[in-house]
Amino acid sequence: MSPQTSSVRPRLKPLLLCRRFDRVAMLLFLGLAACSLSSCAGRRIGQFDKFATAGKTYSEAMTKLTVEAGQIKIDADSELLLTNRDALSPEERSSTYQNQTEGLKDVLAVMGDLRAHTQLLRKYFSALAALSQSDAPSGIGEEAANLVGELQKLSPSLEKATIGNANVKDFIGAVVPIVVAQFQRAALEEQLRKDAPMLERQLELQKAVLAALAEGIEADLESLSNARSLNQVAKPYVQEGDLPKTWREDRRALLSTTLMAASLDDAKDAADTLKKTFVALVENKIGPGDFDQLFADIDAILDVIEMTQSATEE
Amino acid sequence: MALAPYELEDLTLKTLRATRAGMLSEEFQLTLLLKPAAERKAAALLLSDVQVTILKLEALELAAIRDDLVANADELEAGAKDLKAKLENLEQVQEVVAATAQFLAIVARIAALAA
Repeated sequence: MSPQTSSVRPRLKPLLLCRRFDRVAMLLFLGLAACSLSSCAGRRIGQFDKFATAGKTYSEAMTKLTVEAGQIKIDADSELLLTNRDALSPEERSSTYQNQTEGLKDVLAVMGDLRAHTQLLRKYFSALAALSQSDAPSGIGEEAANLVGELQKLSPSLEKATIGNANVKDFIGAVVPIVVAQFQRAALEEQLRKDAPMLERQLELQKAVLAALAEGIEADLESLSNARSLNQVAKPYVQEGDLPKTWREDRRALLSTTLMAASLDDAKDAADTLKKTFVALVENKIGPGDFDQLFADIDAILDVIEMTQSATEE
Repeated sequence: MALAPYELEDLTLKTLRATRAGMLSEEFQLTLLLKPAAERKAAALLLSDVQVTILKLEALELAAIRDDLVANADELEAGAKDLKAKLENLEQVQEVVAATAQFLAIVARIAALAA
C-alpha cells in the first residue's frame, strides 16, 4: 500500500462511516414518515388524475357539441328558408335569405369564440393531467434502487437488515417514490387551491354555456324535424304531382325520429357535476361514486352528439 | 313579481322558439296552403322575422357568457402555466435523486479504493 493511500484512509474512513449512518438514518426516517402518508398520497393523486381526465374529456366533448349545435342551427335555418320559398317573391326571398344568413353568422361566430375558450379549458386540464400522471415516481424508483445498491457496497450488512417484516433494500426502494408522490400531491393540492376561485367561475360559466347550447339544440331539432316532415312528406303528398320514390321511407324515418329531451337533461348536468366534483376534490370530500356520476354525465354529452348527428342525416 | 331582465330574455326566447315550431308544424302549414297568396306571404315573412329575432337573441345570450369567460381567460392560462412549472419542479426532484445516486457511486468507488 502506498504511503499516499494510507495517508487518505484515516481521514476518509470516519467521514464515510458518518455519511453512511446519516444517509441510512435519513432514508429510514423518510420511509417511516412517508409510509404513514403513502396510501393517502396515492389515493389523492388518483383523484387528481381522474378529475384531470374528466376535465379533458368534458372539454373535448364540449368542443364537439359546439360544432354540432352550429350544424343543426344551419340545417334548421335552411329548412325554414325552403319552407317559405314558395310564398315569397324573388326580392322577398333575397331579403329574408340575407337577414337570416347574417343572424346565423353572428351566432356561429359567438359559438366559434366559445369553442376557442373551451380549448383553453382543455389546455388547463391537459396540464393538470400531465402533472397528475407524471411517471416521475417510477423513474425515481429506479434511481432509488441504484442508490440502495451503492449504499450496500458501503455497508454489506444493510442488504440483510429488516424493518418489521420488510427487507430494508425493498423498503428503501419504495420510500423515495412515496416521498415524490407526497411532493406531487402537495404541488397539485396547492395549485388547485390557488386556482379554485377561477376554476369555480369557469365551471359555473360552462354550466351556462351547456344549458344555452342544449336548449338551442332541442329547439333547433324540433324546428328542423317539423320543417323536414312538412317539406319532404306532407307538402308533396298534399300538392299535385308525383310523390318522390322514397316518400314512404322518408315518412317512416321522420315520424320515428324521437327528440332527446332526457339525454339533453343528463348532458346539461355534466358541467354542474364537474363543478361539484371539483369542490369535493379541493375539500377532500370525494365520495366513492362521484367520479362515476361525472363520467356518466360527460357520456351523456357524447350521446347527444351521436344522436344529433344521426337526427340531422338526410 | 316583475321578471328580471335575463328572465324576460329567456321567456322571450322560449316563446319565440315555440312560435317557430308551431308555424313550422304540418297543422299550421297545411292550413296555410289553402289560404290566399297574400296571407301565405305575410305568414312566411313573419316566420322569417321570428327566426332572425331568435338568432339575434341566441347570439346575445351566448355573447354575454362568452364575455364572462373571456374575462377569466388570462387566469385560466396562468393556471395552466403554473401547472406546467410544477411538473418541471417534479422532474427536478427526479434529477436531484439521480445526481445523489451518482454522487454515492463516486463515494463508493473512493471507499473501495480506501478499503
